[in-house]
Amino acid sequence: MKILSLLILLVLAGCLAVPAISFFYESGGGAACSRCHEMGHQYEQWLSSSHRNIPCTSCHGEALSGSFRFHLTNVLRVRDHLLGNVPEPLRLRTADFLEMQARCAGCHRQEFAQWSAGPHSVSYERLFLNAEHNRKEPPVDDCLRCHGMHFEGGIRDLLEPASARGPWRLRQEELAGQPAIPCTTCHSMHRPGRLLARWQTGSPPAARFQEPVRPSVGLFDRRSRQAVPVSLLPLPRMQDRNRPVAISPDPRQALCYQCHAPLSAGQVRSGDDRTPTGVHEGLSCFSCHDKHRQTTRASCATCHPRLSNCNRPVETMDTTFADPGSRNNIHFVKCQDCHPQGVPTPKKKES
Amino acid sequence: MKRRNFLTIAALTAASSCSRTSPAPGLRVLSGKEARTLEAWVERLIPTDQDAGAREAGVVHFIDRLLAGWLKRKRQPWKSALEGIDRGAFLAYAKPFYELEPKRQIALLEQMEAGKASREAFPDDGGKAAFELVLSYTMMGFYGNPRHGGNRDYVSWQMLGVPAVPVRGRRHRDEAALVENEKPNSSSGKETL
Ligand code: HEC
Ligand code: HEC
Ligand code: HEC
Ligand code: HEC
Ligand code: HEC
Ligand code: HEC
Ligand code: HEC
Ligand code: HEC
Repeated sequence: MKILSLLILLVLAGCLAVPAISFFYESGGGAACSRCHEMGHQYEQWLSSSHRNIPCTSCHGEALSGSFRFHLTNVLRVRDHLLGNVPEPLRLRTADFLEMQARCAGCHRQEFAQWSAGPHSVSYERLFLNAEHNRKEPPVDDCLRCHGMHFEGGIRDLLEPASARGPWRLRQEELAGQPAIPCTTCHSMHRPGRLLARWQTGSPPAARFQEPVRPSVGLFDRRSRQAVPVSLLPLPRMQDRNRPVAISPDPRQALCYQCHAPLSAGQVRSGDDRTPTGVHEGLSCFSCHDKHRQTTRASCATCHPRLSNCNRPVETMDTTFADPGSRNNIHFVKCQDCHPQGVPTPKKKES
Repeated sequence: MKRRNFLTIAALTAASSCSRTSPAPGLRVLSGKEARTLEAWVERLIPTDQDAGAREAGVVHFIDRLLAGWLKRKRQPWKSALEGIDRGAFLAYAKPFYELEPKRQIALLEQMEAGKASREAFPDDGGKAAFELVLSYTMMGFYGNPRHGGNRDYVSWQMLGVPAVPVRGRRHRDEAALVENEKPNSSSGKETL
């Protein structure tokens, strides 16, 4: 009896103590978290990041949020810490990333809405339970490089069976509707970056005070379980047969090329490549594609009809890729495709 | 969770100390002195020049992390190596290793590499094993995948010009066949612009 009441007392004390301790660390506004020396590095990175005014908890969770997992993780971390078991660098888990998504969305509503409306909000279910695709292209670990990169583990831990023969099911059903390319695929937060001027003054930032590329942009690399900044992502050398293709130097494109990638020979149009050749050769993906929605129509008017030759209704014309024989494939169309008899001489020359 | 673990945690968190006494701030196993010695050592093996060296790559953190995990039961050779090199430095120059000028550090390391360091510092083999131990883990920490805690920000791969992640399309299985079928230029015009 005594033992039982002692136990109850202890459990109660424990239940109260954990949030209390979490609260103690959080109320220190970041510095307290980093007192746990394993986080010193992350704390320093945060101090110089574009989110330096955002407390840790806004992204990583609140003590008072009542999330059981949050406290459990904390308890387990403290245990590991005290027992000296912290063999690997501290990294977020699959669920940490997925929970964070809603927190990013809370502050970045516009970007979230655009991402949601665009193709990159695709779910695990759509990508991994696609029977046609699975039959043609049996699922392998490498699939997770471009979608589902936050999933810890291999394809066998995700999908059953991991082979060309179905029926397939996700081993963790709760992942089905979760995004396979969330914000943190393309944005990492613990990275030096300036504050956006507009947040301070309410007016658009003077270009010279802003980095040419948002500091957070990079790709979350599954192998190293950390983000590779866009400055370290390569822009490929592309070839159209033997002809070297001029590609835009815009470094942000390197992100798109990681997933919309050519096969290893670097030939345009191989694999998922969309390198513009023909009339638009040398343009960046971002000249036409919106960064989150990936829509393109609004862009045409920034250059047309000013820069073009033919007075075509670019904003309404058919630009499909779906038909491989399409003469209007916007990424690859050449003058000759529409002018097979020879390109007429322009009446007046643009300079 | 086991009750005993829980009690330990409760007791220790109540004391609210997050840092134990021995390891240096930011480290898990190495003391401040050991870390300084090791940093000077790995810095001589892969010095910082126009490119980043072992220090920027976080090799000391990498080794410290291993000593807290994988090498938990094999800490002794490390302790001896770090004590040995310091002792060698004291015997020869009356200073700790990390305070020696680079030239002298290199001289001492060269003796160890040849197994000719003072037997007072390294009774068994004149420092050869210690030298090789630290060299091999320095290489791993410098060139390995950052997921293991070294090669911070891919510094060594940057130096070598190896992209952290190459551009690599999907469908490698039958890549050759696909390239054949998807002959470049087959979908639109015959000539290039
Ligand atoms: C190199 C990165 C990469 C790898 C590896 C990769 N994918 Fe994809 N996946 C993409 C891209 C890019 C798209 C969008 C293609 C497009 O619409 O042009 C895509 C689209 C898809 C789609 C949607 C296709 C559709 O018809 O709507 C499915 C399903 C899919 N991938 C499953 C997989 C599976 C399963 C694997 C492993 C066998 C895999 N992917 C490997 C980049 C990749
Ligand atoms: C704006 C959101 C945001 C804020 C604020 C933030 N973090 Fe993070 N944190 C992330 C993201 C996203 C990751 C995943 C790695 C990355 O993207 O850099 C992460 C990763 C981590 C990791 C795991 C290490 C790793 O590299 O994966 C730790 C530890 C961490 N954060 C601690 C902190 C601490 C301590 C603070 C406050 C000082 C803080 N974070 C503030 C978003 C944030
Ligand atoms: C509490 C609100 C808040 C949360 C949560 C938050 N952000 Fe931000 N974010 C901001 C503010 C404010 C700025 C602008 C900072 C400034 O310039 O003052 C910003 C800037 C950015 C930028 C542009 C600068 C850069 O570093 O590239 C990106 C991208 C971004 N946030 C993405 C994210 C992502 C992804 C998450 C979720 C992991 C997230 N944010 C979570 C408030 C937030
Ligand atoms: C497929 C990659 C990708 C994904 C996924 C993605 N972003 Fe972005 N994001 C970008 C790129 C690229 C930029 C433009 C960077 C630049 O112009 O320097 C950007 C810019 C931003 C900016 C800065 C806006 C500005 O005005 O410069 C914010 C904020 C942002 N993203 C938030 C988010 C949030 C929130 C999510 C998740 C809902 C998200 N992003 C998902 C690629 C992505
Ligand atoms: C992390 C991998 C990844 C990155 C980075 C990425 N994409 Fe995608 N993208 C995909 C996948 C996967 C799909 C397919 C989604 C689907 O079919 O549901 C897709 C779909 C698209 C689509 C629509 C495809 C269709 O068939 O309708 C466009 C357009 C697109 N991406 C453009 C871009 C651009 C531009 C960038 C660079 C900012 C980029 N993507 C970066 C993986 C990626
Ligand atoms: C000249 C403007 C332009 C540029 C530059 C451009 N795109 Fe597109 N892209 C489009 C348009 C327009 C569509 C819509 C085609 C349609 O379905 O009508 C599109 C569609 C796509 C699609 C969906 C599948 C398809 O082909 O219909 C993907 C994926 C894509 N683009 C990726 C990229 C990537 C990656 C880059 C950079 C390497 C890029 N695009 C550069 C205009 C452009
Ligand atoms: C960054 C500027 C830019 C954007 C954005 C752009 N284009 Fe163009 N486009 C050009 C230029 C420049 C040419 C002419 C190339 C030449 O003369 O060699 C051209 C040529 C064309 C042509 C060939 C016929 C002609 O008028 O010369 C078509 C069709 C076309 N664009 C369609 C589109 C569509 C559709 C969009 C929107 C999705 C678009 N373009 C967006 C710059 C742009
Ligand atoms: C998408 C198809 C398409 C592409 C690609 C295209 N054109 Fe045209 N072009 C046309 C059409 C259709 C006309 C006839 C327009 C008309 O009669 O109003 C035309 C007309 C012209 C004219 C005569 C314009 C005039 O004022 O009478 C010139 C010059 C011309 N194109 C040059 C080019 C050049 C140079 C390119 C490559 C940069 C090109 N076109 C690419 C469809 C195209």
